[in-house]
Amino acid sequence: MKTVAGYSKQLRLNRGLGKVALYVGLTTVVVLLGFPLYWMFASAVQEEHAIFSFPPTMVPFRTFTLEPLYKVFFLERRPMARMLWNSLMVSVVSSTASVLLGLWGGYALSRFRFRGRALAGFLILLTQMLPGSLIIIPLYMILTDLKLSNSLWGLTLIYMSFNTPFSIWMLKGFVEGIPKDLEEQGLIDGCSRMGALARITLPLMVPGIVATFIFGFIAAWGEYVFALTLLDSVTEWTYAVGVASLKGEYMVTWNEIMSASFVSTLPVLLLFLFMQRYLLAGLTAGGVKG
Amino acid sequence: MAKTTGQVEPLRGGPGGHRRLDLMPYGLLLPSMIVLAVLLLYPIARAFLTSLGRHVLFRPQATRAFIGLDNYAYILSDSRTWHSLYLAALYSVVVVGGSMLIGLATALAVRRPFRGRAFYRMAIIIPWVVPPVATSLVWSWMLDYQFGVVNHLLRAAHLISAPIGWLTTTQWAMPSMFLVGIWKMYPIASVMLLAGLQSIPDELYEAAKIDGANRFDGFRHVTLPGLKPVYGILALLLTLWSFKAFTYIYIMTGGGPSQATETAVVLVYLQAFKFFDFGVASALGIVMLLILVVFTIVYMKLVYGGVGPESRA
Repeated sequence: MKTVAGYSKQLRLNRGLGKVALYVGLTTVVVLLGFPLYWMFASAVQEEHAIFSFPPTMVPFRTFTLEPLYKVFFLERRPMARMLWNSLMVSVVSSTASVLLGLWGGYALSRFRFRGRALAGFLILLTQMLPGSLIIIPLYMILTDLKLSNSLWGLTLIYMSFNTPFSIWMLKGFVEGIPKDLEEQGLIDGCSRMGALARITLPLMVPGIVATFIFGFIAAWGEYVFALTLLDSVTEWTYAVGVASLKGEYMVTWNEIMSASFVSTLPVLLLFLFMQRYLLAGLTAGGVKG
Repeated sequence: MAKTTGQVEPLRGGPGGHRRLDLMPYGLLLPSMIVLAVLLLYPIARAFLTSLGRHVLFRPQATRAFIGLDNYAYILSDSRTWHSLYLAALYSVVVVGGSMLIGLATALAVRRPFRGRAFYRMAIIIPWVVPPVATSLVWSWMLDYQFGVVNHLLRAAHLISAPIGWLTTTQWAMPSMFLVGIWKMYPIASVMLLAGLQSIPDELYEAAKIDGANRFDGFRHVTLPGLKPVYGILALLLTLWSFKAFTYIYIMTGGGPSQATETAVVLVYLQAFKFFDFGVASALGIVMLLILVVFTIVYMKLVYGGVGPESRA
């Protein structure tokens, strides 16, 4: 028969073992899931002969070089730096616009009960069912009518419309998290409804706005199909199109492709690392409350 | 709007709360609804019209504005269509299932506080940040037949004796797509399920323990029901997204080898931009859209008993 002390010792041992298992398990999972990102980096900083050597270099200490990066940006005939700039502009403008639309729409859907509310909700969900390649052709025709074909402005408009439903959905969740009483208090104090929105609700929404902006930015930054189909001239391409086009060559220089890929990953990775608190809050506010 | 009487208009117009129609929500929704209508709904209408005619680029003399449902008849009789729809459905089931399972496992692992939790929680989300093109390219490189690191590691571990053509054989191409799809999608599931887990009050677990429940019982009777609002909408969104997954497949295999990874949305793209048959491409796109709309309505009815924002969660 075990004593009380014996039980608690056993319990502590179990807990300790559980903890070790947790760390071992989690570390294994993180190494496995994180490996592609590591491999992208490792392949990006090696010379061509090192890339195609056997066995592959797992840790590029001795073969480290930034030559592939230099080649991509300065020796390629494609203006990769220009494309980075294009991507940046399109992503910033389109996600700013969709945050604005999302704020209005999300506020309306969460604070008001009105006729047509369910319809608006279904319309937003409907947009998530649209196969992208179905609407490329008509969108191309519409952009031509608007004299916006082969232009980054046209692409910006499209990204804005793609991001708006998700923006509305996420910001709606955030508005719901802010007590209505606060605004009513503002109304009593003599604010107009817009004044109450601007002075009381908006400051509390900053985390939600940041999160929604980052979501839009990441989506626009990575988008490929529309940019590929709607932009003809190389100087108007976005970076995603430029990177993907590197692979179509007669010889696949994987170290250059990986360094170009890593450059496309780095901005969003840093954005995520610095803003992850907001991002997680964003997903959870929208996600849990639906 | 000055409020001199001190009476506050209720912000939320409940039933009978307002005598006159409040225009404010309509005004707020108008800009986004215009954007969605012009750039998303109008294109659907136009695509539908296109699907009713014959529109083949480079054969303008054959163009006819209206040929009825011929394009639909053609695609429905084509086994390639059915194969592509089957692959899209298979891809969705496997990728959504796999993402939800890995998402749940990782979310459960980082639910309780422990040293280094913030790091692990961050690390498991990282695949979501890698842009789609970069994702496709790094996996293409890793799964390369001759120089890919996956074949190398598997051979070094004596798990395989000869390299496998992950992207170049009909047998392995689709499973490779599943792998990449899950890798990219599980982080969203993980984050949302973690949020759901954290919204379940600890008291429920304690109450279950007092009632003599073990950990498995707690998982079955507290965790799973508590997560239902999250995984209900999560499964729907992930299904809609993965049914339309395009970039990874298009860049890694282009639908090949011999149509082994040609999902419906890839076929739509190929019909339009490789065979330049816009009529047939649009018809197939409309069929996909219909499938997803019907699926969503049935799903909403089954899971929530209704459609619309009220019925969500």
